[in-house]
Amino acid sequence: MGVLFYKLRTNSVSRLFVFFTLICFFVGTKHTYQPGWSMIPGQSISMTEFTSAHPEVDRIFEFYQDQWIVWSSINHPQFQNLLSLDDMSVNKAYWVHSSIFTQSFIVSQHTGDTYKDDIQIRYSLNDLKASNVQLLLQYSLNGGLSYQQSPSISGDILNVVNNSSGTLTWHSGSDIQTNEDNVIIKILASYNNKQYEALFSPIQIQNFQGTNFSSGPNVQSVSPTPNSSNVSSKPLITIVFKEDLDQASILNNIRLIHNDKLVNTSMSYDNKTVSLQVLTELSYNSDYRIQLDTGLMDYQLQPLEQRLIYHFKVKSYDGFSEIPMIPAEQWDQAAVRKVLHTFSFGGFASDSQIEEWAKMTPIQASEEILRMDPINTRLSPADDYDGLDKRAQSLQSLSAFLQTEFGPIKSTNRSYYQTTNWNGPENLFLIAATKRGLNPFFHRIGLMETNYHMAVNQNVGVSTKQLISYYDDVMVQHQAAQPYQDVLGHMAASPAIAVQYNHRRNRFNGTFSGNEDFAREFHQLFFGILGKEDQQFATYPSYPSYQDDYQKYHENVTIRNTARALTDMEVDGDNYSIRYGESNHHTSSLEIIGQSVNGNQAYEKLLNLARQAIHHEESEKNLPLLIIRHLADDNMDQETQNTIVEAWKKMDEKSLIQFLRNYAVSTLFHNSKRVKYWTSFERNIMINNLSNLNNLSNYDRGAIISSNLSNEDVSVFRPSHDVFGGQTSIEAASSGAIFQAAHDYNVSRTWSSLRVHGEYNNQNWTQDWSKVIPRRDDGRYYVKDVAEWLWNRYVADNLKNFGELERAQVYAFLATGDDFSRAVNIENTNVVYSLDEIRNNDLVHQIYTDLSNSTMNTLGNPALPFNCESRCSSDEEQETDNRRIQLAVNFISITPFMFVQEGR
Amino acid sequence: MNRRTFIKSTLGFGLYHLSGASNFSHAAFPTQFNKTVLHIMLEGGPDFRHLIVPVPPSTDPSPGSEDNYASAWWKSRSSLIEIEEGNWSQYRNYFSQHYDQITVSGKTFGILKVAGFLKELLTSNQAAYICNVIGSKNRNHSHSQLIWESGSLSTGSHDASVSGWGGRLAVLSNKKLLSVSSRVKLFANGPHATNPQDHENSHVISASNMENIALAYNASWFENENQWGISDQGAMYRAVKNYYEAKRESIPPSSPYYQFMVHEKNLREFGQLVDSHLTTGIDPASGYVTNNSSYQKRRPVLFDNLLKSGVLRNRGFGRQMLNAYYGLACNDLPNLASNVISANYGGWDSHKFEHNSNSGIIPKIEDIFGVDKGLHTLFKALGEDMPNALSQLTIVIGGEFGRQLRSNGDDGTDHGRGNGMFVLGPAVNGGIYGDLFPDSEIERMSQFNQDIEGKTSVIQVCKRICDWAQADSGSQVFTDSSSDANLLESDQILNFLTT
Repeated sequence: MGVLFYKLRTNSVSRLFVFFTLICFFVGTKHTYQPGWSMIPGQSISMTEFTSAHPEVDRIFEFYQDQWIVWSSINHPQFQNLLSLDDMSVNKAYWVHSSIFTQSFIVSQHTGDTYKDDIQIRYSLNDLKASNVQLLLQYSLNGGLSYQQSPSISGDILNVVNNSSGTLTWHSGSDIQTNEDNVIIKILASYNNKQYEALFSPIQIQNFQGTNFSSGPNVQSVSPTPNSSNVSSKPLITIVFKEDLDQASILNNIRLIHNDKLVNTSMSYDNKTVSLQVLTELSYNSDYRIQLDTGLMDYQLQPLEQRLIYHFKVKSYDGFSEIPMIPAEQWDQAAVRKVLHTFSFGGFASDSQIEEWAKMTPIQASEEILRMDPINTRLSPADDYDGLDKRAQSLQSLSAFLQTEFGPIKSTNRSYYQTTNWNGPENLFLIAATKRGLNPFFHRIGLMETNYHMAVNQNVGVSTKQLISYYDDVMVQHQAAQPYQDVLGHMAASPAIAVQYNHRRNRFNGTFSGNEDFAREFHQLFFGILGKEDQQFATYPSYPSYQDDYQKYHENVTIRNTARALTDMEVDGDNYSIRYGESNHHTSSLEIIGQSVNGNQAYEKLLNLARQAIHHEESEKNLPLLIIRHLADDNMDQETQNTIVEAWKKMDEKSLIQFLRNYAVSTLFHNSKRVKYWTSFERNIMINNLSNLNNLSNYDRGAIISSNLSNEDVSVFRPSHDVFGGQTSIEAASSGAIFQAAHDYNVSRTWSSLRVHGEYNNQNWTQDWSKVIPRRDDGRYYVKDVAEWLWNRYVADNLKNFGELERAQVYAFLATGDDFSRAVNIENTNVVYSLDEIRNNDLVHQIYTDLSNSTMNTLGNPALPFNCESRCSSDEEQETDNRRIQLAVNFISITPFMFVQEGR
Repeated sequence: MNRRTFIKSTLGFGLYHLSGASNFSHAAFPTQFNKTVLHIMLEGGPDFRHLIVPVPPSTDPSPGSEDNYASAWWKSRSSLIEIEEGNWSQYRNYFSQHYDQITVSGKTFGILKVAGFLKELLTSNQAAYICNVIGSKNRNHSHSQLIWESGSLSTGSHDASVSGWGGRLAVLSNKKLLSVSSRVKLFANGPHATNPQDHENSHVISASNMENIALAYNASWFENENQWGISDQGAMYRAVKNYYEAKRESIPPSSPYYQFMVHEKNLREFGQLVDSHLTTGIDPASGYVTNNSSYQKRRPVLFDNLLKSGVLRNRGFGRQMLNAYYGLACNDLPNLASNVISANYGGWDSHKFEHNSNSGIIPKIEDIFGVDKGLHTLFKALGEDMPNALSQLTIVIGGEFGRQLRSNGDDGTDHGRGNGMFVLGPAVNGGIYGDLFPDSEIERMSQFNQDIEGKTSVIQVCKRICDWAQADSGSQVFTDSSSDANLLESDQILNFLTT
């Protein structure tokens, strides 16, 4: 990836993001701050020294530019970057402690900052008006980003009395079995319905026993902690050794194993540490083991003395209590198929896989179906013809592979997939979204992100290479399970966006020069912040200048300053490469949406801004609705909207995948009120995928999809509303012209859809439905079975709308290859048979029934099995049956039920 | 017809004769028409302040005396036209190179030379420019478009399914709405019977390509049908046709599947009829050429010229004008009488390179307003073939919001709120309505983020148009009675249309 950027500074003082006026800060928090103001020392002092001397301090304030700001909250992770207090204004800086802890310190024996096992903590409490305080202990292993409560404490922890001192013991060995060098302890006092805390400086803990073999490699530490049960689904696994290893021995002797199968990882070795990065998300609530075999050797080629195995368990799925889950009795195959249709262009899962998902708990199934990885073998099994799953993790790698002689594309067409081909981005996307082996959910999200939510447009000068890299970039972010705000912040700084909106020309040299296009759309399109309302407005630093005119504030402060943040972003021509400079950037902090946004250059500022914007009131109200409306629901009532918004709000760290996984198995999605009109993209790709029986035939038969999209006036990476995205569901449904195009394709332009055999890239292919359609025990394929199977495959409504009128035509095509009117009376084919006639006219009903009960051959003939084998008269007969199925598919595809999905 | 109207229509026809038209009507064309509103939505926020500009001072103003509107305007737009601020001779050169100076309603201003047809309409009193119009007060494109097209200031940012004022007008008039753009816009949506957040579109004729509006059919599919078989196309065509016919009554309007039943019914009922009528039933005065496409339509010469490569920057707009012409030519076919036409032209979000002759807004303005371009060709063709249609056609042109007064640092302008609107046609009392260049803007032009102050609600303007099209319909089509919806710069503004 060609993106260059400067890392966040870590060795200098940086202002915190959150500025509050002092008065509002007090009013706005739950804490009633106790007296305890003290002035910051007026001489140079390190933060470590200061906080060691004052462990009770948890807020530092400074009087700065005529207002009080929070300089630091010491339980904030940024605190770790504050090395000194030198920058603070003498006589204008104060600390305060809000805690009832007057003193707390560790009394255990230790070496330096290193502790082991039981850790004793002495504390003193003050200002208590009651006598039954309960103490808890929490610890953080990630620098204070999150804390876990320890169940392993003893001592004076209950009914602590007023003005009391006490000692508690943390049995850290029960919680942490590894060596950790950044453990932050926090003790909490629950008192009078409030919690007060005492925070400790980071310490090192050495609890891992490791190995102590006399020869060969010895393990010093392992992460995740052995026997831990709350491991993330995408952990970085590290094994630190006491000796250097023989590198050649590492690859085959350190493995991650699940259910006795090897899990794919990428492995690296550096400074006695072996790191394993899992390539796909691990299964929730599942056991894994890290296995070190005796072939592993140290640098003296001495082998490991015995096999070592370390177990860990991936955490349970974080369900949303706010979104009600579909009851187990309603979670059936049709429900699974609705998820597949909506979120993964139909998917390529086998019937048995769908059946398996229907038997799982909904959330387990959702977790398996919706995975942010380029490959999901359950949803999209690999195809032997092209092996895309091994070679095409991104559009760029797909492009490279498709142009080789070893790739699946016939030689005359390979140039269509070059990254510089004028239609390369669309051609590559359509391969990625329609071929077995690649993850169609991954690319459904890719379409949403790059053609709707954060749309870029080939028609406004974004180069094909930039489009393709932009797509890959956003999906790499998702694949890495970045918090959604970081994904958005990262993409906002992208070269493709800088070209799309032209802020690559924005400069700040004391005055701003440039446009404010993306400054506005960053908020509106990326985050759903429209500048209409903000309940926190009164707490904003610039509030006094704008009083109650929030819209004016949004225009004059938020938009204006965001434009300043978008300065000095130099894009390297048509390449996906950008330089974030400082000389023409507004390097000072900027007030945006009420927050102080820091960063020496645009990337830092945008990332920091994104982390604030995601929590903005308007974003929390709008962004989840934009996502769900686009993906799944054109008919959200207010109650549904409220539920979705509440669920989104409750996620402290916004995770798109977690949100979608819960929504996809919720009663909001599986709800009769929900209506989703398919866009031209969704319908055409879904029909293609459900008809893709093997990739070889689909390279040939499926090539028409680009033409179909064009006939429906849509194009990938050329969104019809420019940055506001492509064709909407409502537009697709409202257009008679789109219906007409779909009709004409299925009725008239059938040369592609009705082909059931051919030759592509010097290989013969067959559209052989016999491998997937249902077959009874007598070995025969019955029309009724096949018809219902097809309807559920394409419409996924549990046959709700597969009435006699639909069945009549589908039966007729399957049984005879003709329409129903002709099947009834070859002498009078223009008769329209009504529902009443099919039900009540004896002759018509009998024919209807006969068609239904027939097998896949002409009426009146003895049933022949689909796979003719020795009984088949000719290959043509099998071809006829395949062709009849295609006719039935074409018919189903032009019924109204193929243009819209109901929730139930 | 009163004297004024008579004079106007004479002037109007005089324009069309410039193109060499011969006869006013031909027997094959319908002669009875409804009063029809053609709404052209310019998505992106068009900068009409670049189309109509103050005349720069004829002599350099002395320092300190630059406080008149024209001086302030040219200075504030310097970066957009890439002229050093305060270089008055350059401003004058730019003006003389790009603008014609005209006087309308006693107000003298410059109009872009590329908008020659608009200039003709303005000077012949067939164009009204209504100043300081405002719809949405936010500067969000999609939300502002929803507000503009729905005709309600209370439309929310997620209300993408509500009805539009064009659709409501058509339904109220019991007429069809002809949607000639590539997609059916929210403006066209009709009201839903029970759900105000939804819409129903059985009145919409999706006419994005009138030259190919029939469902595919070929008699040859059935020619060889016998006891042994029928072509796949023939079997499928009949299956679909018979299925929909049998199914039609069982799907209620409240069903999400209903609109697809409507599409099929509409296309099947009038598709072949329209196809046949346009192929053999009309005889354009300008002559016709046979299209080389497989559809073998006869295309009027005027439009064939318009759609030739290089004539329009956006040929899609030319096709929309052709679709409108064809739609009016089918006005007397059963169930095809329309009184609203929905068109659009996108790409007006001119943050950068606004005056660029290739990528800026000038080629777009020319496509719409230029001599022998989109609107002019429609006027000429209607004047020749369907003069009664032209005499009853009123064209409304606007965008979701205007731009800021001052140009930005990227040769463009950023989002504003207030803007102007054009209303064109023989029924229009031409002129400038409202304060074209408000003095209150002079000081604000030097400030950040300032825009045109909205003084007249778009709802007031469109209400008046609806009342013109269908008596007393305005207050039924527009029910927003908020104070913002009642905003009106002066009562005189509503005189822009004759009765």
